[in-house]
Parts: sequence; C-alpha cells; structure tokens
Amino acid sequence: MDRLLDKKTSEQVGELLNKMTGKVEIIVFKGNNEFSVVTEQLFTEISQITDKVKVISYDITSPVSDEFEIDRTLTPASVMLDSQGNDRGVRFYGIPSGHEFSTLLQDILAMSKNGEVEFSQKNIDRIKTIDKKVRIRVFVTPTCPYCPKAVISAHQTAMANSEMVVAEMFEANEFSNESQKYNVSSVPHTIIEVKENDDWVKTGEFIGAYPEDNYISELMQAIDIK
Amino acid sequence: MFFDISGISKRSNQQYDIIIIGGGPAGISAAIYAAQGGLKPLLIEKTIEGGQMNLTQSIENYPGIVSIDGSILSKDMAAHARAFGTEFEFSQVKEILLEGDTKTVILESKEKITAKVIIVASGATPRFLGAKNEQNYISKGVSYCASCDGHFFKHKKIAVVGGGNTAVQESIFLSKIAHEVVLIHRRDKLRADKIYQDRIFKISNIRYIWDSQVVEINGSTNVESLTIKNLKDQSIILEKFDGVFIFVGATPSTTFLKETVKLDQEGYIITDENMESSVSGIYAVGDVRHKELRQIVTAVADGAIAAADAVRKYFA
Repeated sequence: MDRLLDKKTSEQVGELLNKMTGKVEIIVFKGNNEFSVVTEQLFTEISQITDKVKVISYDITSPVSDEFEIDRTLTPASVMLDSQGNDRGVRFYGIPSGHEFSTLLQDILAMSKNGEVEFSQKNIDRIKTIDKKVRIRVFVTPTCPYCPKAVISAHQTAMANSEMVVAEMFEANEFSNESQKYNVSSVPHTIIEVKENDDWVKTGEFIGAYPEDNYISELMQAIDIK
Repeated sequence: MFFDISGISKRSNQQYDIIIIGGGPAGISAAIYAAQGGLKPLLIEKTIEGGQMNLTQSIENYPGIVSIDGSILSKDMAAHARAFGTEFEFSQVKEILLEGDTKTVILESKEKITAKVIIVASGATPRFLGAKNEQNYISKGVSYCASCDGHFFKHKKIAVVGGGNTAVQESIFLSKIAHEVVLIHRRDKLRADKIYQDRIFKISNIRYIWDSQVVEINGSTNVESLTIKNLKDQSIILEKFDGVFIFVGATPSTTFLKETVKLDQEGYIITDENMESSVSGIYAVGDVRHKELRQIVTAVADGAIAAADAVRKYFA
C-alpha cells in the first residue's frame, strides 16, 4: 500500500506531536478486512514520525481483546493507553481519517500528558460523580467537520473518569450495521448507554456538537445524575 | 481518503489588537489584512477553519482558481493567515461586553479576551424549512448537510428542498449516491446560477416537483414520506422518500451579540460601507452582514475592507 500521509502532512504531524510530554501506546485489534489494514498502517506511519507513539497490533481473536472488552464482531478497534500505560477508555472503531484525524492527534497529545482534560474544573468534578458504568458511542463520517468536537468531548469525558466511562468513535460508513442498529442518519450522533445487569442500555442520545456546558448537562441527564 | 489536522492549534495568550469572530473566508481575509497592516489578530472559530466553505465539493467562482474542493481552499486560506502571524482559538463566543473603548469577548469556557476592535464574521447556519414535524425527524432522515450525511442514503430515494445554488449543487452531489433525487422547489424555475442549472438538467436520476412546498414530514420512526402541496392549485400529494435534505437559505449567527449592534429585520448586521456596525470598533463581514450577494468572493472583500479600515481608524 502507498503511504497514507503525504510529506507535508507528516511534517505537520511531527511538529504537532513535538508537544507530547510522555509516551502513548495504541493497540489495534484487526479483523479480516481492508479497514483494519489501513488503520494499522496509519498508526504505524505516526509511530515512524515520533518515537513517543508505539503501536501494537493483535488479531481480534486474541484474548487481549477481552481485556479491553472489545466486541469481536467490530474491527478495526483501537485503544489508546496514556503515558502511564493506563487504559483511559479512549476507543476508535474504524479509521480515524478525514476530520477525525485531528481528533486522533488531539487525543494523542492529551494522553501523552497522562490524559489531560480541558473541561472546566466544575465540569470535571461533575463527571467524577458518575458512579455507574457508562459507554458513549459517537457516530461520525470522515467528511463531517462538526464531528471531531463531539468525539473529543466524549473522549475527554472518559479521560476525566476512566473507572466508569468508555468513549468510542464509530465511523458510520465502516460500521453500517451498528449505524442502522442505532438509527443513525445524521452525524455527529452521540449515544449514551448505561450498564445494567451486564447489558448496555441506551439512556440518551443527541445529535450535533454541543458547547461544553450543554454537553455535560445532556450527558448527566442521560445518566440520570443531577 | 484525507487527513485533516486543523482545529488543534492553541493561542499564546498574548494581548491582541483585534479579535475576529468566525474563521470562514471573511474572517480569514480580515486576519490577513490586519496582520499585514501591523496588527496582532486572534481568530476565534467554533468548529473548523474555512467554515461553511468546507461543505462545498467544488467551488468554481473564485477568480484564479477554476475549480477547487471547499475543504482544500479552507486549509489554504487558513495556512495563509497563519503564515502572517494570525493565531487561531477553537472555541465559541458567548457574549461581547463593551466598556469604553475596550471590547471583551467571553468564550464558552468563560475566559475573557479583550481587544480594541472586533470583527464579526460569524456567518450563518442553515435555515429550517418550517414543515410540520421537521424538528422531530432531524437525524431521522432530515438533514442539512449533504457531505456529512449523504452516505446514509446510498441507493435510496431522497428529496432536496430549495432552488438556489446550494440546493442544486448538493442535489448533483447526492445524485451520485442516491438512487433517485427529487428536487422540490416552491417556484417554477431554479434560482441557481445558470452553470449549475445546465449541469443539473443533464442528470438522469434527478426529478423535479415545481411550484410546491413540503408541508409535513411523515414516518413511524424515520422519514417515510412527505406531504407536498402544490402552491398553484393547492392540491396535495403524499410521496414516499427515505430522507430529505433541506437547503432553503440561512439564518445569521448573531445570538452572542445580544443588543449590542443594529440588525436588520432578518437578523443580519447593518454596516456602513467600511463594514463598521452601529457600534464603533465593531465590524461585520461576510454572510452575517446585511447585503445582497453572499459568496466567498464577497466575503473576502468584506474582510479586507473592514481590517484595512480598522487599521487606519483605530491603530494609526
């Protein structure tokens, strides 16, 4: 396969990732599909730009996928570990290309700083009150300029309370079954689920990229925390 | 496949001379002229540099460039502004406070930034059609962004409402994805420029319903059909559709301005010929301004005029 990132983009990525403080590890779970090959290559190209990003790939059938609770029917799935090597709940399903590439890079920067969250302290404190298992799924398309904001908000929420929250980007074109299951036809579409007796139950959803305060309010309302 | 890395930069927290609200072509042009006039501009953008321009697949009326993808022109313009020292802040402005000659911008994070001059280039957002149940079907088949949501309608039948440049260009884009596109327009001819009309009329899977208005959107969960009223004979038909894309103009983004500057009846900012609003030191440029022709080429002209005037008037 040809290189995905051209020379100019690679230089810009290098410049940006110079600001990383610690190391970040990305684990890719691959399936038998072209999207998995592309995802692995994209991360590998980034790891060639900076030695602060390390990439590890597993086949989805590997038992490691269970450690991160990855559904074996959903590939490619990627997990990012922070500078301490901890799972902070940041997930990507599908290729983070197009506008989502900037999401990926922002996540790498934040995770290199041990999962630095940019929400206001008040909102971070609210997120920390979440005391049930929450899964945030954000459906996006690479051509949607409004989508990165919704994914970043979800990922930042997970970083702020990694014990309880997992936040996932879903590339809607690659996962058309999941898109249909959640009735997604406009992006960004954020689905909020709460774990009840081992099952994920949808408790809220919203469309569009919300400003920080509104986002946190919608989220807390969906989880039923005032 | 493309890889976008805009939307990441952070400002350096210095004192700025001029704050530009909105990173579309008008705001970027204002930033370039301000910087070249010796000022330090800060450009605040809420989603993506280039703004709505990003959603246009091909721009063919910007002199010197025969045809270009809107997202590429966006990047090029932003890179141009950065090359001359413009800083970008990705945030949303909630309010503007006026105290004497100082203007304060309050961001969604509640941070405050002050400057002597503000240039409002906040643009406009797609206007709702006003059909019954429209709000209930947003994200369930009603969309205002073809490049975002078009893929969900592969091989399906969709309606496009509108007759201007955007409606026609997006119909052409959607006709490559959908099985059939039906353009519904309230007049008997399109308002779009002739070049786009010539193109759309050559496409075999686009059909037209003229002199008609979508009055109601129906379906159990998702859009299943539209109730369409003929405005000439008042007859009503019900036709099945999987989705409907609405391109019926725009609403100016001015809520953060509250009562500060004078607006026209539709909410667009009224300015003098130098783009200055009713408040001295606050300028308005691009789609948010009261004017006739809203195009990239007029947006960049507005931006240049405003910044050049501000340089002379407030920083000489």
